[in-house]
Amino acid sequence: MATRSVAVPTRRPREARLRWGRLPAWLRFSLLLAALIALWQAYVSIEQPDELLFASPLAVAEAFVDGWRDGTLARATWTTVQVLALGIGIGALIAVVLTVFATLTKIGEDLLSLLTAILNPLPGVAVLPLALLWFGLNTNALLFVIANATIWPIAINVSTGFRTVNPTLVAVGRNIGLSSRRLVTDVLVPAGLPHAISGLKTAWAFGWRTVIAAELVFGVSGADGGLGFFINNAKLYLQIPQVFAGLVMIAILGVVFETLFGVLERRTIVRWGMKTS
Amino acid sequence: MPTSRSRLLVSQDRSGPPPCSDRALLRVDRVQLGYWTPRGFTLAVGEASFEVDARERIIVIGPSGCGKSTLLKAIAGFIAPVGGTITVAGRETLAPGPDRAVVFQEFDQLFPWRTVLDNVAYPLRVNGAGRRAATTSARSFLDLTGLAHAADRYPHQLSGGMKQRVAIARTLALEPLILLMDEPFGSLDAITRARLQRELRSILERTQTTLLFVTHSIDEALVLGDRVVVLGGTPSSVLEITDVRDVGPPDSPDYAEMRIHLRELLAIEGREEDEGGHP
Amino acid sequence: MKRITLVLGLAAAVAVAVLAAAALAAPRGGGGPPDKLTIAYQPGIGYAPLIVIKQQRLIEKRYPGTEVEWKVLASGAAITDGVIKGDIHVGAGGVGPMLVGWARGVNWKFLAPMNDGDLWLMAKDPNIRTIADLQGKRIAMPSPTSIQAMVLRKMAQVKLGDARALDRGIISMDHPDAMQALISGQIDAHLTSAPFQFQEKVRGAHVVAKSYTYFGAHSFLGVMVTQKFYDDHPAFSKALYADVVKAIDLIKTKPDAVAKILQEDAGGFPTQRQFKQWITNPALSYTTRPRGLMRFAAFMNRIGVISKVPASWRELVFPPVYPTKGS
Repeated sequence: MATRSVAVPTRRPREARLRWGRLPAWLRFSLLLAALIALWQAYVSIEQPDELLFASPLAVAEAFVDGWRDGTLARATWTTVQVLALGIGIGALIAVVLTVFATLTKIGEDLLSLLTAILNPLPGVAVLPLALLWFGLNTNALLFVIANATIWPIAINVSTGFRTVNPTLVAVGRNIGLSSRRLVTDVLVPAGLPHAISGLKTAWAFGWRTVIAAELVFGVSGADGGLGFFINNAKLYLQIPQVFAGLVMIAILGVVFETLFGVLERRTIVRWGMKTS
Repeated sequence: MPTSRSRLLVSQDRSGPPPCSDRALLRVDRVQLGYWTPRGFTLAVGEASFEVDARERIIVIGPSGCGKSTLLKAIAGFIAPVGGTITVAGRETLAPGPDRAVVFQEFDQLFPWRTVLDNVAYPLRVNGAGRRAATTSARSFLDLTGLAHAADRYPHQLSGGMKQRVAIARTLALEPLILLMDEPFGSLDAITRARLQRELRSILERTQTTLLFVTHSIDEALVLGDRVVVLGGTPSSVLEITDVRDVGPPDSPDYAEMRIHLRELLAIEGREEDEGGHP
Repeated sequence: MKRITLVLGLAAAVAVAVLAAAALAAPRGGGGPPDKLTIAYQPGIGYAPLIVIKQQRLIEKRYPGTEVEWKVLASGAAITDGVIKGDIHVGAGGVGPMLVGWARGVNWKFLAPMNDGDLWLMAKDPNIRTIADLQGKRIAMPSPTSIQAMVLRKMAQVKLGDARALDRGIISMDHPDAMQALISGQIDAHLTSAPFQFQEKVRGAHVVAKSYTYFGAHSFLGVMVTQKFYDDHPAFSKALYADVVKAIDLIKTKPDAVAKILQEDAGGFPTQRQFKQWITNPALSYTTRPRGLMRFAAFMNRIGVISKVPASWRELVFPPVYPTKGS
């Protein structure tokens, strides 16, 4: 049998070589994360910073697991999430009322613009001392602050959404015989959904930052504390790994919520081809 | 005077079957249409009068800005005439309603959050049809417009031509007294436009739906119409109402003659417009 | 190939930058007096010895080449943070934060205890008369790791059987803010110290409990420095101790003069007479002899606030303090 020798290429063709971009997403991010953690551990091992200032990944992992096991981290997380959810709920409710008013009347629109311009730039934590004075040293002050942080992004976005609904869709709605009420629920609301979701995402981002910062400043102790309190308390007792563990928890929650938003978007506005950004 | 409407309020014309004493389905009687500008009141349509019988296909043609779209909107009930009356089946067109279903020029007249099927079925449910009946009817009209295969897609997945077909299916499914179309093929490329013209014509021959079609394309008018209402002038009025049923195919001499005639009519009143695709 | 080298090069650059920054941040030591000195203390006349030293500029006069910065911070925890970071060289605070820091590895000790202090639990509501009445109520103190918090827990343990029974009600507030809050009714109780407890009494609050009842006479505040600071600046540290002794002596022998110094420091208000009343009140006794340190450490260890206990009180102080025979 005759064999033929074939010239073997000295380099593999470009497509066959391992390229970063071709790995699946989860693998890419896991590898990058692992690399960052390794860098972190390297810094700790080499530089040996004061353990009262900086914790190693191992110590943080331990503190994290312990925190979950004895329930302190779980309780703190649940408290923060609860307060945030309630605060956003209140904020959304007020936002909807203001928005309906703004959509139906010109004076409502002006009022919303004015209030937003004045109150939106106020960072939640700046309002907290006043809130503590009005509502006392309890969660109501926190709720007030979070609501203030969330009303304006939601209201602006929803009212923009309503106002920028394609007039053709409204015309179609009237043409097929929709009543005013159904026009709002069946046309304006779904048409405004991309903006509403965008507003909700912004509200969540502001609210999240506000609640953690407010908890840090708030200083109320006990089992009622949220993640911000957990971190501050750990710091008071100089338990630095716990501080880091609290931060890790915050980061994880952030990722979880981003993912949830992503799912929501994929099921709705992405499916309908309506995603604006 | 124009009646004032808030942006969201809608009034419905839902009284019982109209008293109908003569054949004309749509009667436009000395109608004047205008609007307020910062500088005062402008008359768009000075005076228009014509009648449309059931099962007729009327094309309203005229140069840009002559008020033909405004006229269609008035017939649809979106605006009120400042003078004269518009009646459909004996009732004045004071508010929009499914008896005068409209196909708009824009592609995004479909609800993006509903599937193709639901875009056709939902208006039926709004008007009282049961869920299953609405779906069955929707499917048959999608079939009619050649979109049965796309029933479960979302509008953003469709091409422009397909979207307009869905809009046509939706309006026909409502079984309106008169189908109003406002330059529905104006945004399409020449080939798709021509195809849709032919399809529309054969669909309407099957459903026997009365049609009022607005366009600035003479060829489109001649392909689709029974009669042509020519608007022109400032403020505009009906220059002529011509029967074009018997002009024959585009390569016939009668067709060419009618075309020249209409071109002259339109040219007198100003810029001549692009006349759209014609195979 | 090129991309990998780029990535590696970037990573190396980042690592180098991080290490360089860390190296640059490390403080420098010495043998003589420090070039720059930051002294931090908290509000209260317990810090009178330091205030005297400050107003008389004793340190500045002895070491003209040293730049001295005096700071007032809100709590012992803040001072602990500053010392850990190296921003604060000499801290002054209570026994509570000192022990918490010490147990967690902050290598510091008392250079000069300043006083024994009876800490009073004040309330304005006439219905709050006993520790049991405080359940579910809001009690203010500088922080959950302050000496006041330890006192509260001891009270809770003795009277309610559970050291943590009142923990939920602890609100972190510095003494001036908490006094304001107590008077205006925003909080229910305030475990505080001189002069605030005296001021609150005058403005309508009453005493619910006293710390001496539970711990016996005990140390309240002291001046702390890290072992490293002491080793680097032994002469300075000993001189500072001597200054504190002198200041305390002055308070005992010339209270009028000290009251005037305190009044000037406070900007004229409260009055000199009030200051004199306060510094001569038996609830506050200025001394460099530490008392009750072991008792506090044992209690804090028992309730889990600190994880290690000193073998003897000497472990908690520097050599100049040994002769005082403390506990």
